Amino acid sequence: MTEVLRETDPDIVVPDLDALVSKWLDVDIDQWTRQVVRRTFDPDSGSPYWLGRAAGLGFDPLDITRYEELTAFGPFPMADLRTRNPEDLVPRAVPRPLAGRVWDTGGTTGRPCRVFYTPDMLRHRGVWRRWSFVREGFAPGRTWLQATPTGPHLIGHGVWEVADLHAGQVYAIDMDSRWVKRLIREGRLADVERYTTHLLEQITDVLDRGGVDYLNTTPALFEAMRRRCPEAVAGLGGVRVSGTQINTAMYRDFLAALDGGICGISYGNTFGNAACAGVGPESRSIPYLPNYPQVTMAVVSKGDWSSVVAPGETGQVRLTVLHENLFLPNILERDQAARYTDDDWPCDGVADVRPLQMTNSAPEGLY
Amino acid sequence: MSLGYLFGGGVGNEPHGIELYETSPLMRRLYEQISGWTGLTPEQILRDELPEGQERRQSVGSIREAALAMAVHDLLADAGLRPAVIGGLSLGAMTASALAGALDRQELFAMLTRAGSVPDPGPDDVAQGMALAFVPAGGADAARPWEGVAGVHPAGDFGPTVDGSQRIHMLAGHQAALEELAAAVPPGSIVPLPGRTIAVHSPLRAPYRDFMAPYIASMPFTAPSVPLLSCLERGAMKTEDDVRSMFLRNATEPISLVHLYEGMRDCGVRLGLVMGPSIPEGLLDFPFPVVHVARPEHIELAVSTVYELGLDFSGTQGR
Repeated sequence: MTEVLRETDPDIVVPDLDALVSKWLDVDIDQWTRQVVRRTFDPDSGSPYWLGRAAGLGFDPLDITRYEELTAFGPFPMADLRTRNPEDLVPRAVPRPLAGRVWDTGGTTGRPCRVFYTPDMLRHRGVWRRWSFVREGFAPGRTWLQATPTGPHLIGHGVWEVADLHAGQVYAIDMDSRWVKRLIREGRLADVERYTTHLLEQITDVLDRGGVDYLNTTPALFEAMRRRCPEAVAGLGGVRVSGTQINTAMYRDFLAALDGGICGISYGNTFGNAACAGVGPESRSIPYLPNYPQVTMAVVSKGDWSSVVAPGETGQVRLTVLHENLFLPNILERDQAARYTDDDWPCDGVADVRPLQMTNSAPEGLY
Repeated sequence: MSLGYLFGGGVGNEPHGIELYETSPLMRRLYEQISGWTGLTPEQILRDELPEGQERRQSVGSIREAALAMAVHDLLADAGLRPAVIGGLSLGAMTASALAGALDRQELFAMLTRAGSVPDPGPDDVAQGMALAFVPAGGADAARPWEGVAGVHPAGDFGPTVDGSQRIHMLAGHQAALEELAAAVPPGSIVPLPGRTIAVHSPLRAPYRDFMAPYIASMPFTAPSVPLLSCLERGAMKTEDDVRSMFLRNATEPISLVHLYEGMRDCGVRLGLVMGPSIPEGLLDFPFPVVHVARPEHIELAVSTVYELGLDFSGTQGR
């Protein structure tokens, strides 16, 4: 355990970060599963939430020996993350009182889900993000503008990730994604346009000062910027977009508008992230690989969450968080994707992510 | 950078859109209006058992499908969305024509009602049917085991499947010939469609075409006010004669979804919305993302997707 916790060292340096990723990718998922489950269900130092649920599981979680056996826990009840104290999910092995941030996900309709991130969880995420930056060609020591949701949304933590782990100088503006969703739900599309304009004005105000190399934002906002402010886009060295809805047509539009700049992509939410595995020149697919082993993803049948679909087939995204301080098995995301496999990656990835649609898919419905 | 609306074809036996109807006063008002035009009650339009008699059943089923597609269109309009280009398959092409301003809605439903008067086949007529054919994807050389088979006609092309492995065609013809062909090819490659007893989009549908031709000839078509794509050939229908020709030929000529989606792609469509439950989700290889709008929650999903893909709301409104 001592070695694993090295990433919490605040003085960690770049070679250590690279070594951490290599080490994680070499992890045996079954061994890692046992380690996390044992820590979570330790009678003395486990998670109060999970220990409270243990008696009702119908099996002894300490008997779990393999990753595949995590389906025994069933789909994770997301309502618990809306009502329970996020602290209860964290094993008592983490000293109380807990010091750190509670992050939200969802909340565009109804109450958001909330989870507590320990410092090493933030660092895990940050190390993976930095790994993505490097892989995608974002140079260290550059100036960024972060134009994403901030506040309770973990994506906003990217300011820290860029500044502390990639030696960046970061400007930031805030985007209230819940407000946008609310406007859409209420049919106030003119107000959506006004809000987009409001955001673009703030972005261009920063960019007009000069010296900003990279922009971190959402695909929707960058598309609006590409359309309305093409000169500002062409002046960037690159953009990094995070969101569920981006396709290869948008990606190629972005690259063309960047005029030699680079475009990085990631998919995820507060529970876990996945980095883009690359988009070929002729490819019609955008694949992602999760931050293994703390985050794993599967694509499962829309009608049977426990059944993983064949490679290339589309289904619902099932995410499992296997962090030492946060165990969330079988989160059924409101996204669908194609199952993606990569011989060089120790777990499944997802491709072509978009919101889940549960409608007729039988060929007989064609006519 | 635009939004395309796709309307599927076919007439199913199962009612759809009930949740939309029950949650939407706008849809209920539309069904009352259609009730006034057709003489059917809103419940008959929505979910009652379809009537007996092949053509009467087909007529009421067509009204049901067109009403739902039109309702979805109106709900999306109420949410602020308008298509930049529009097109449909078969019945969907006719519904799309009405929504593109090529004919009055009432005229469309009057025509569908009139179709219920087409004489049913006699007891000695050969039973008809439909089938789907799944063939390996490929170019012009791809296998088409129905070619040259007596009593079997190509009726539609749905294009490649999403994994690129197969291409889906629709066949129409004599039921016995279709079943014989299905038995002669690898299992699952030709699948007769249960309950489909009308060989639409084939020469066998000539009696329907001939019966309806005078009626269609007298219908007051106008040039579409929204770009309207044909499912019978590649391209847009630009004049009232183009639309009338499609209405006349639809019953006996093969349809192509590929014509529609490639035409939309060429028009710069970046998101397709499928009206109602037609065209199954996740099966076909559309050249742009597609959202299926069949349930109340899909309306918000459609609008959200327009936003997420960065389509210009101002360009989708106010047409």
